[in-house]
Amino acid sequence: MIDVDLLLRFIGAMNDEGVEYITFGAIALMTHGIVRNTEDADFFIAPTEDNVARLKKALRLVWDDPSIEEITAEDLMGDYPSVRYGPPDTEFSMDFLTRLGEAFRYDTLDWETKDIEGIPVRVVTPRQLYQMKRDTVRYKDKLDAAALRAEYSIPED
Amino acid sequence: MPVWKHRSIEETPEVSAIHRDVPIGRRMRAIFGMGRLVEPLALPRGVRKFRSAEEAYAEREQFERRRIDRIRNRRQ
Repeated sequence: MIDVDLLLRFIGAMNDEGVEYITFGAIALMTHGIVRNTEDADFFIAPTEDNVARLKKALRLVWDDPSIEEITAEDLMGDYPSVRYGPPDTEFSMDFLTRLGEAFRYDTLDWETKDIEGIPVRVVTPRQLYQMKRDTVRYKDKLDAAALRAEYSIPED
Repeated sequence: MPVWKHRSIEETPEVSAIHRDVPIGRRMRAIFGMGRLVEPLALPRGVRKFRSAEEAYAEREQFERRRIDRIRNRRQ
């Protein structure tokens, strides 16, 4: 289960540290009003060494966990564009991505800011989220895409 | 809560998934709070690295299957 307080503390820490991130996946879906449970939080992050250093600092501000040091810019900018982190003593995980397939990269995503309990959160736009979900192999993504399309009257490309 | 009556399912307007008057944080707490009722996924703690999003999805699916097995085993 996602601990909303911890998640918002972490997003606040990313904001304070100037991490370039964009939330996508079910958390973004929820900010756009589509209701779906999730056990993880997904973030695109800008693929630069400085940004990964800021991300690690934000993580360390919330969790005292030596495994955070295993997250490296070399991996995220190289062979491992997807890193999953499960903080200690929690039941949720976070996925940090620098690219998703060939189609989606941090600097090409459309995003907007949503306010969650006073914390500004960068999230992909409904249309961008629809584009990210419509062509995956997962059935639940197709359902999410259909819900977004219906809710926001997104035309088919 | 008001009551609406329709003569058939076809007449019934589609209900929006969005409760626009409910703040996002409250909505998240309500939905994620229901996660307490669900068997935990039990993904490992710490850092794992994947060469693609598909690889990451595959790990998640593996743990989803294990969760289903745990539930089934308890029923037997």
